[in-house]
Amino acid sequence: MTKDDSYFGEKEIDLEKEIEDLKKKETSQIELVWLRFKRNKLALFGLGVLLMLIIVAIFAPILAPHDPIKTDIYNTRAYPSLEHPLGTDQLGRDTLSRLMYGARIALLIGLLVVFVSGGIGVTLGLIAGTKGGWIDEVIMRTVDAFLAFPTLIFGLALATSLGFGLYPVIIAVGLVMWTRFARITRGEVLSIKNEMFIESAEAIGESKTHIVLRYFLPNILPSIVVMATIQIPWAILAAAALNYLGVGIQPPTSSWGEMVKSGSVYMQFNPLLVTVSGMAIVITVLAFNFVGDGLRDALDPVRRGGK
Amino acid sequence: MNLVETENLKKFFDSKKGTVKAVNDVSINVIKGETLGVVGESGCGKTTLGRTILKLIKPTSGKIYFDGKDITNLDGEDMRSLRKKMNIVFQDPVSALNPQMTVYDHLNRPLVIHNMVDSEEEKLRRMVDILNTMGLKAEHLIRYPHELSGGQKQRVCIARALCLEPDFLVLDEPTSALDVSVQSKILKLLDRAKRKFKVSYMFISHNINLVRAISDRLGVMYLGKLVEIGDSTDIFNEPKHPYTQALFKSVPQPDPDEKVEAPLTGQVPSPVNPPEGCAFAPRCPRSQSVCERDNPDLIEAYGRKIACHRYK
Repeated sequence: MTKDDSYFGEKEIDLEKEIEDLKKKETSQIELVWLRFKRNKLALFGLGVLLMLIIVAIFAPILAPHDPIKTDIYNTRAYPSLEHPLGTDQLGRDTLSRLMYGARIALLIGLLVVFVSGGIGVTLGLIAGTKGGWIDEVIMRTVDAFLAFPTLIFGLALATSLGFGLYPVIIAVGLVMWTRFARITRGEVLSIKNEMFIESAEAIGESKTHIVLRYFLPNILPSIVVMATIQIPWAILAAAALNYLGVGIQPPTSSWGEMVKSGSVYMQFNPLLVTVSGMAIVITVLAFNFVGDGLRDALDPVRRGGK
Repeated sequence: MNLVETENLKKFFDSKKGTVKAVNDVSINVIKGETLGVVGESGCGKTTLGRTILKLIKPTSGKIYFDGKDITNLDGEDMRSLRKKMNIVFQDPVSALNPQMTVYDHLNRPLVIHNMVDSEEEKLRRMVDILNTMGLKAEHLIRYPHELSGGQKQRVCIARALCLEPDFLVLDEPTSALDVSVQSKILKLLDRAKRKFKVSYMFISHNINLVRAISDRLGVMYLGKLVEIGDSTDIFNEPKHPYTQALFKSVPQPDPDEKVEAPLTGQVPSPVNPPEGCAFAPRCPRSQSVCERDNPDLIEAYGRKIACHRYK
């Protein structure tokens, strides 16, 4: 017996009171997502790390103890000291300061690449999945063409031909990555395309654009968020790899990839540089992944209600 | 007065095996204020018929009239605004609700799209009112579909379909995914809604007893064709078409001693290659040579319409 069995009596219902009660009980969407997110300790930890990184990146000029590009040839590959808490590199530049400025580059690349490639990929994936037919064919064959190249080689070629600096790296990595978003999005669209709620939406008179934005997009969003949080660290890694290989951001601008590169050359003299810059990449990547996991669970209303 | 009428409606699907003639030349009408039951075995095209009438899928050929107006080629904005007057309730309530939207959102969208309300307060009143008609409470507004039981979900679907106060509602096996106790409740609610909102139903089902309880008129479909249509009581009392007779006989009786004869032998022919003459001829106990040659037309006989050579 469910408790709503009694509803059959046509009793008069006080609408005012019902609406009043309802307003009291209502919790906003964002609150619900946050409540759920909070329960995942690892995700919370990841979020803390990310916030710290962002603060460091924003306030690097204030927080950094030294100028990151100032060399000191009398004090190269130094071990930690009070003046240089994480030592110095082969040119005597302060490792901690370079790490802090490197965080700027890393976050900028990670976020920009994912926003740009995610935007392009999700849009094209939605179009391909919902339109179908020759439009789908054209988009997906383009994706295949992009995927046919080994990603790093492709990025290397692009970054080389686009010249040095931050934006060529972003464009190169972004061009490699949009295909993944497009594929995931299209796959998700196809999996819910035949759900009856799409046809129900048509039956109540929703326009095609609204169906895409209100019915398809929210249902694929959890997958996209997870994808994005996997792709941000991937973009950071790819950019680091490109820097390691010598294209993209050029010295003396500090990037974590470049630091790993020069650190690895002098590893036998002072392993600290390669270790801390490597650790910075690992921690950032992990933090994004934790947050992504937490967000996916928090965004899914089916899981949201659980314990 | 016909609210909905189809004229030689056809809906064919292309498949790898050939063209599936899901709805083949069906002329059916729903009279204002009535409940038209549509019965038939699985795969006979009754669901496709319902979806095609609402233009959720494009008809291959034929005409659809709604309230005297030809809506066959209506498109875009014109069709969308007409959706206020017609709606559908699907078989599976789990799939019919967007898991990312609350009950509030589900009821809000149709009201917003068709500019049905002026203020938030009026909107809430309407929502609560329709939920109450469906035996749900205002507190359900903030629920997500997964927080509701199957019966509650289906009631939300019906509420969504009814909140625009449509003239016509296709009920595509609205109770077959629910257990028996919930079924009867939903039927009662539908009946209540019918009286309250003066809506006409097209009730699609394979459950003969259910249709018997709810229909004013009855249409029987076989392999994409309408074989018999007329007053529900008449047809139940005295089925004329051999298929209708067989279909009614195959309803299980709650008497273990009664001898059950298998009324239907053989398989339903594939809708890809329907028989040349009458679609039912290969399984018909009373088939003649003419049945295998000619496809019988729907003709008036015994105060109803029957598609059978026997009644010429």
